[in-house]
Amino acid sequence: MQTRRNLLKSGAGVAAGSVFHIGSTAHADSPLKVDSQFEGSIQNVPRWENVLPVPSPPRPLSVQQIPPAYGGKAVGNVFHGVAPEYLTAPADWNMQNTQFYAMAAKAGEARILPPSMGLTTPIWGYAIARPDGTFGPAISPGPQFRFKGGTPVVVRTTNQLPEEISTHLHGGHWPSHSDGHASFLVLPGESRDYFYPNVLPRRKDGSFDFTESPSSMWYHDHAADLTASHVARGMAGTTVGFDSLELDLIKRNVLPGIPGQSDENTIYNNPYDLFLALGDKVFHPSGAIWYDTNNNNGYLGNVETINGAAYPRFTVEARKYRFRFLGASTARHRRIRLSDNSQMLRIGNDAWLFPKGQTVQAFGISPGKRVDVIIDFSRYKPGTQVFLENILEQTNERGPEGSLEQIERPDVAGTPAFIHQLLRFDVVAANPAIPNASINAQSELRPHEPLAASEVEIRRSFRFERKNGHWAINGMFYDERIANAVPRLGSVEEWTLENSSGGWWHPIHIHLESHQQVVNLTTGARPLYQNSFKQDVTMLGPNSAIVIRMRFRTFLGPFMFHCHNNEHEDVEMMFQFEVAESGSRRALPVSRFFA
Amino acid sequence: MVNARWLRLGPALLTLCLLRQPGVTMAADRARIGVQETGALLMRREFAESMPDPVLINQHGERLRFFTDLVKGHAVVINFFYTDCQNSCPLTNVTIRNLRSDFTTTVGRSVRFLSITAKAQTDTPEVIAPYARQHALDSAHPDVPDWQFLTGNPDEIRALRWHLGMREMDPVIDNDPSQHAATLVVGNHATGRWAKINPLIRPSLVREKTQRIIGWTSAQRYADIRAEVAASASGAPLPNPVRTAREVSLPAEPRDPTLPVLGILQAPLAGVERSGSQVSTSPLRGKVTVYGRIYTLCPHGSQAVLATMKRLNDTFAETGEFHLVALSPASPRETPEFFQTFANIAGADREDPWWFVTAGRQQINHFTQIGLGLEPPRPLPAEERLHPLEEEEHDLRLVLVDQQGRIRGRYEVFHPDPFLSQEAAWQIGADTAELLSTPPLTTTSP
Repeated sequence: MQTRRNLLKSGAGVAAGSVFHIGSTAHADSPLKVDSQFEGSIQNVPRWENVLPVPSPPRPLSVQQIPPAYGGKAVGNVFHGVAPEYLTAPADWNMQNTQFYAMAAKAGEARILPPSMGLTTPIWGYAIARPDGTFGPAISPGPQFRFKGGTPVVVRTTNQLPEEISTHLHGGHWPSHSDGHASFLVLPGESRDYFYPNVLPRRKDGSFDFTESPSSMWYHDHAADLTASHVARGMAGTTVGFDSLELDLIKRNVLPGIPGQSDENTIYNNPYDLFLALGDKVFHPSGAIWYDTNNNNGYLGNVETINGAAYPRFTVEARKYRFRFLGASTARHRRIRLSDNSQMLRIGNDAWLFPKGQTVQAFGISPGKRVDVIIDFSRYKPGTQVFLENILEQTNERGPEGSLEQIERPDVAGTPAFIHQLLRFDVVAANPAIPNASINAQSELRPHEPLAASEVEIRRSFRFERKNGHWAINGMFYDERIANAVPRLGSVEEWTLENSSGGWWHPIHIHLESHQQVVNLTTGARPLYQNSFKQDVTMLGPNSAIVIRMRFRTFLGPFMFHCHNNEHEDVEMMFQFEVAESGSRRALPVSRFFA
Repeated sequence: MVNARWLRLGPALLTLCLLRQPGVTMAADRARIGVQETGALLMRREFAESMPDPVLINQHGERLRFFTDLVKGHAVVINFFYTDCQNSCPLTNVTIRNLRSDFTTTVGRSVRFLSITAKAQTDTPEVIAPYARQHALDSAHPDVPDWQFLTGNPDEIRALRWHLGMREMDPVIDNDPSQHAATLVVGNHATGRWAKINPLIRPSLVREKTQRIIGWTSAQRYADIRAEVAASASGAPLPNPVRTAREVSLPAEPRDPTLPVLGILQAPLAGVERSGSQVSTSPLRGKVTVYGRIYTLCPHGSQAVLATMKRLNDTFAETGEFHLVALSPASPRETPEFFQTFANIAGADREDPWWFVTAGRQQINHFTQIGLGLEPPRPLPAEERLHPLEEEEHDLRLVLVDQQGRIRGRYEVFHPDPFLSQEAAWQIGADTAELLSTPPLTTTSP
């Protein structure tokens, strides 16, 4: 302990002589507490030693033709097969452009803790296949895929772990077979061909609905009973989606990027646009992740990580950056701001860009959510250090302090009572060859088409509650054979998501498409700006009821909807809906099951 | 239609569990676990062997250490019971009994069932011993998984319960043992895999989830699904299981948007409630009502009927739109006072929307046969009688009646096959919830 503290002091001392600190310093913030069953866990982790990991995207093994790495096995010729949609794709899905990848879920080692601690951490992560079909080392977060709208992708995923897995690519629009359904597993030693057609749902006139094109997606394990422990061990990764609208915004220098480069290539090479996946963990003194598989209320770590590194630093040019924040924790909610409380431009919620950005000083982010933000570092002199801070205290599994409304506020009033620093930005001079992006709160981004009340076919209500130590929805528990809702393909439904469980927070995630908030029945309030477009996770604070509308297009079910506190999800706070040719107001047995 | 479908799957599953050949596949699974990197094991909570290890006393008076003697290296199914538990424990015990009988032919004694009392102050070894005898008569059989009933120091047991993740943040709820009685903690110390299972979910799911954790090869699950599909579709085995693994399409069912209407309850029944007051079933219009006949000479039958009614009562009484009616012909023995005691044992409170109604034998028979559509009593030949007074066999199905007085389902919650009984009990709960589900809140559009 003594040596670590000294090291931290000396490190900070060196830095303090040569740079401008913005906001509070590394020592001044509030520590995170750890539950008593993790007594003896690592407490003091030196900050800003790690460098923020920035993943380089994998290249497809092949385009159009099956790659040699597939070992001569055609798509679908693996134990768990491929989605039937792969074989019946319409002509305008451009199947001739299909990109092929292969990935394995496997055990590995990672350097999450800073180098001075000399500890490595065993993880369960994902490894991309080399051209010869062998797999590289497992990493966490997993390989960052870059999916271009209109270009189909097949990822052959092999399970090299001793437990069953199911990979859910969160934020996209996928066939049921490929959606990472909690019961559509990849067994140990087996493979599944995940088919991601990257098609948009169609409007009533048959045209593709480009307002639904997803930008910020992430994938994580979703296997029934195992999701939380798998995610806590590292089974998550990010995926960037982009379409011609976004490339055009870069070409016109609205969004950060290198015009003429980031907007031209097919892999979206953009140094000014990155994911920040926020996680929290408890570490055993050996460096291993310490997770309590018997706690089904929520896992709160005392060490914060970003992109799989504890308290990293990141060197930024004095220009605008686009950061896609991801709530990759299983249970921790956060409220993020910059240490000098300066403004950021929030440009999206979950997978979708707003029509126009929103100026904020802080934003709330729950497990499963993504928040798309532009930060302009050109306001800082080179040599400045500015910190990214979480200002939301959460001391127990129930949820954070304060109300949903407080957490969602776009401004920060006064000095927060709780500050925990996550990341240090080191500002350097901008490369003058590349102009700063022009985006501001007036820039037109992605149009939005609201769902009207007149389109609603069926209304349903779902109450998320605690029942005899388990997590229930409408008093019932997840049953892989029951479609708890049966929406008609192409229809619009209105659902009331109600949280009546005393004091607990539930971020509710609905698969397949975005949903739109209509009204908060508890407060009577219309959704805040950031929630008035599209999202795939709706945060429910204690005793809140939020009405949402959603369309169910392109793919027949079943699909999941559940609490994205992964521990709650594992103890049955999960339902499924089966999109079907004809809808039903009542629950029905599921009619399709993609083992 | 829906009901019939789930019940039909029952026998298929039951047959399957007898046909399994677990030896080979389990060995393969174990090998895979064996080669996993030690790093993976480090992530397990048991890496630190931090489990509490209190001394517990079982029903035979043996002193055993929880972790060292019972959990270490083993697969376990743990629940917290108490001997005077009326509510969830009987149902949890039914689940455990079913699991033990299922596992007898498969995993046998490699899984242990540990029932730990949540009321150790009163559940002494002397109190637990007869309770255990009543529930685990067959533990001596060499293939039946062991079932230990354990007591010990109350504080240590509470710490253990907390450690297993059964902890409520509100101390009042936490100290109420009934809050913890409907949870199975299933774990496997060898693999470090643990989960909580609700014993009240679909019985086949309880079994499958448990199997996956205690070390059954998870590939077996797919054999289940394939065989189920085959059995319910054509009865013929599937030609190519690998092909069907890609898309297991369940057979097309008529997707009736509502529960079927099986009949209409015409005339109401008038009789005497256990309180002694005259009641009529006509005011129950507008509520979802479950009727059941109590045949007091058939203890197991009444127990099953009452246990299901109790569960329905606990789940739906609060809605104010639900009612239960237990029916029995009046006799010198079956008086309102008799049913007061009977209702107390069943756990029915005075305030509960639950009537115990007696009326003349002819009226009851008319109501159950013409009204509810139950079978007439069958005279029982002397050689089939389990009790000298048991002259007839009664149709003990529960009948679900909707707000409009239409019969929406009849459920065989007492069936010789306990698995089917449990499926039926589960189904009536699901269908009641369906009938009670009110139209969702409508909203004003912005």
